[in-house]
Amino acid sequence: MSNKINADKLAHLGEVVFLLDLDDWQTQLSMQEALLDCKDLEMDDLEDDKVQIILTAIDEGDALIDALVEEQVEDRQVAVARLGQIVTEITNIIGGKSFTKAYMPDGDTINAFLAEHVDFAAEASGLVLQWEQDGSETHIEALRRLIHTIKGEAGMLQFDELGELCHKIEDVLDHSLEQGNAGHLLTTIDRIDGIFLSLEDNGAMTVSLGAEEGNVVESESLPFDIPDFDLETSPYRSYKDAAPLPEEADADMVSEFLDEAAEHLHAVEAGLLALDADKADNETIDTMFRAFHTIKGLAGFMNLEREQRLTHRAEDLLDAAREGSLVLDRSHYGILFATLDTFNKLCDGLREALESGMMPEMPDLPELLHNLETASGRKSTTIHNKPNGSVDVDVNPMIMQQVDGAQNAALESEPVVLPEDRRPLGEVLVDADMVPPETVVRALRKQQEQSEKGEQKKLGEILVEEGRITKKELHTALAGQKTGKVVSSSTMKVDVTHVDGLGNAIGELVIAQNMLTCLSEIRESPSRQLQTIMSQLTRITRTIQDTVTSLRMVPVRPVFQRMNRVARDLGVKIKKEANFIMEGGESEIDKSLVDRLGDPLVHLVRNAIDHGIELPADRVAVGKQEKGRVMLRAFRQAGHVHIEIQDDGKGLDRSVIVAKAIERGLIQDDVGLSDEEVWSFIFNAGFSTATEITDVSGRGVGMDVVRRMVEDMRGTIRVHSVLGTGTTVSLIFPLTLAIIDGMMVSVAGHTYIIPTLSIHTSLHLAEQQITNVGGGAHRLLDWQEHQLPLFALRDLFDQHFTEADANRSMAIIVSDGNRDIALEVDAILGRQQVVLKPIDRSLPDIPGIGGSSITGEGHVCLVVDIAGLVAMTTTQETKIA
Amino acid sequence: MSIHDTSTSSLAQLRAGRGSADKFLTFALHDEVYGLPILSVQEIIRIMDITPVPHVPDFIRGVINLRGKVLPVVELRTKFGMEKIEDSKRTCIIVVQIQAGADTLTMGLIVDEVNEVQNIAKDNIEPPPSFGSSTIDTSFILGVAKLQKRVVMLLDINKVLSEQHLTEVSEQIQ
Repeated sequence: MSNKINADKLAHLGEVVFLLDLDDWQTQLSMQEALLDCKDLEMDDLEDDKVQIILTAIDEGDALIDALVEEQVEDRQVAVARLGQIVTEITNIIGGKSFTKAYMPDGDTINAFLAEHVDFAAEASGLVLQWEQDGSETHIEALRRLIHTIKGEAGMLQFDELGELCHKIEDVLDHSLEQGNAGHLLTTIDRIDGIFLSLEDNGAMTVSLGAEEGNVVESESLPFDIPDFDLETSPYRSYKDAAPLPEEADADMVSEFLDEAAEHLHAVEAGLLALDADKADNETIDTMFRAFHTIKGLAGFMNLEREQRLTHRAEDLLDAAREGSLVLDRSHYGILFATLDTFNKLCDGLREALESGMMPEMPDLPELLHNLETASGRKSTTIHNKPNGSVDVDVNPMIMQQVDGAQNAALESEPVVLPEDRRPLGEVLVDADMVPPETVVRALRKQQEQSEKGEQKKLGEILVEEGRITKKELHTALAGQKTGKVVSSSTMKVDVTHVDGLGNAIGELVIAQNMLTCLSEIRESPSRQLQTIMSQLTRITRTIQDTVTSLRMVPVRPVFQRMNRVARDLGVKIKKEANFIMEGGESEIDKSLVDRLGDPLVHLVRNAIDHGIELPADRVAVGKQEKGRVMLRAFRQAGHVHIEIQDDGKGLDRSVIVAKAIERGLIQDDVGLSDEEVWSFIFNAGFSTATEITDVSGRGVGMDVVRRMVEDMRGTIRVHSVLGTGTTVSLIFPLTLAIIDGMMVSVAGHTYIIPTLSIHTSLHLAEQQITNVGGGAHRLLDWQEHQLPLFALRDLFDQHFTEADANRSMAIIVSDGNRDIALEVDAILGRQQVVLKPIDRSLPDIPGIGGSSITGEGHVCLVVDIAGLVAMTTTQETKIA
Repeated sequence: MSIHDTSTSSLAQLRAGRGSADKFLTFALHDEVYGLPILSVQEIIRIMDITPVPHVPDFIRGVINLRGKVLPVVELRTKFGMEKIEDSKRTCIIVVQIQAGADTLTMGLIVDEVNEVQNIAKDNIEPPPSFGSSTIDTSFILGVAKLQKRVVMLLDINKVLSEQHLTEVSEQIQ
């Protein structure tokens, strides 16, 4: 692949020449290196005379750089310019590719691009899978939009290979779409995802990646051609024209528009009613005017022509009234009320269209428009040509914005209103340091002059004409305008480190606030005012804490969608068909949890299909539907997130698991073991019922992974299974991971915190409930007909040095989700919200300790890790049983 | 002055340093004087409530809350095999930063008493003594300095609480 080497080296050369200052000696040295690298290239595929030219050019460049570095040239400028020429010559001969690489989007742009499409693979494959299932066009439509967006952006960022891939997918979607193509589409989507990943790693896509992708795809004989990234035929084609994207009024925007319009219409209605009741003043008319004006602007922005025309006429009428050239009377009110009603109907129509996808019959406008026009006494100019209004160009940014807004409007053939959520081009350019503010002002002035002469020119055009910016910069800036629009909407992207930082700070705040409330000076203070302030502080702290917690919440959907894919692929592989159903994908859970949920879910899904769902023939034989059903569900309940995976397969067989558990020495018999206790054995490392091992999943390892992860995230597992009807595995996690609800207990003079999540109940220890086993070495506690192993926390934690007050001791029944044990503590001190603090890494993981927390008094308390503790006791317990 | 051949590269670095003297924080432990390079010391705090941690070696007395951070503290007496004594008013915790691979760990060291910060000229630092094949481990001694008739043992804190010792911590647990 000599082309590949060429391209890499040349890209490097290109970078050196185009990005760096040629008159800098370091640049020159690295360029020299790059030049000499080129000399080593394989040049088999070039004619001899061209090779000769290249070699000569390299030598000249080499000599020139030597001279430059040693400062032995007469005219540096000339020499440097010549150097640039040499590189251009060489790269021209070998292929134009390196020039397209010369423009390297900066890291921020790439990151923004990646962040935008972080869920692309999940989303796209989700759509393909849904389409494969129901064949509905809407999924393909959504996929097409998705791909189109990426294609456009890729074009703008000059990620040519990415663009080509998207382009090909689009072709397939448009022309040769068959159900059987789903697999190929998925492969291609994976490939695109691969490109994203490599972008993330490298910050820039390498040419080699594209070339290899092309080959791989071809070898798998896709039904469509993936372009061969041959350098001679510079893949720099028409699809670039797709960027920037055409404006599409998507559903979200329309519904936002409707919401906003409704608000303004209310204002208008209130104003009209006031007018009608003769309670109106100029302010009322102004308000109504502004409301229509805003709606008009929005409608224009959304290309909703009818809405725009209507509001425009209403605005004219009110404007006339405002100026005093018209006195409003009842006949006008009638027309305005009619306008309002009609507009409401239009909005209803739009809403309906959004829901059904069909545009209903719209009310007739011409008559109303005519009425409005006559009433206002203005033979209104058509909207599109409405003069921009005179604006003094000044350095004042506000005015700049207005002028620019006007310009923007002209650019989009929209009304004169500056769409509120679009940043003026001038501002974008100045912000991006592409041009100094003075230049923008000058250009705006020029634009103003020209428009007076009747010439309409866009600001961007003027700047390009004057050579202030390049076309490319203009495109980037135009895209920036759009990004600006997105950012100013209801969401914004924040670096996760900021959120983490905030979370930590809030943790401190909670501690400080706890300390304050614990202070005896404050608690015992007679001042009522102080008490009020304290409770206020507590409330505010809690609100902030909740808000910050919610900041970290993201929908679980992307992970679910990945599982859909896993289920499908596995189903195809082992020939078990299963409908995969997702519910509650919109449930929000902590981001760190979402990030780690993938692995365990993969295991559970695989298990459900491999072990749970029977072969189609077997299913029919037992009277089930041929296709199995796997349901993934997420929901919130009482401060916890539940993730459930349910299959309608054959269920767990108690006798098989019990036999295996006995064989492994975990138990001697299953007397007194509940189903749930039996099921919990499947989470033991290496526990696998021999008959069920396949090459896809051998129960044991996978389930062990699930258990570990769930424990790590302080969650619990519940299994519910009925033989012959199916299995449900529930993973239950606390909503937030940083702040927990804990029970403070005292053990040998020290305070420990037990997460309330793991606690069943607590009770006073009475002698008669305890049975001694093994000569007093072990104890069993009778609790609700169960004999639970009882451990003293002081023994588990090696704290022998204070005498216990036996009369006061308490037992806390805790559970790791599978197994219940009783813990003996000296006393229960109370319940509190505590902020989890990791212990400094210099201490290794301590069994039974999950972390620490700082109390109101500033002391460190250790937080008990129940799962770890139960694991610690397991060996001892087995001996008893 | 002739320099003894020493395998302690830190000492070599110490000697190769630009200045002619380095600053050491000296402290007392069982009537002996020790010194720590001042650069590894983050701060000195009075002895405070220490929360014991189960299943760790006895030289780790527990964890403390240092302005919201939870740090382990090492009982230096126990670490050096000296007898335990009751904390007194002069007992201090020296918070040090140690290098473990790429990580910087923060720990507290409990000492009997903190003395002062001393300039010790490089020329006054001798390589660590060798006690032959005796049981005394001198690997964590950077060098020995003599100051006003007192001998100060300069500690290489990274070695005192080296990774090896930390793994020892985890081994003990298992």
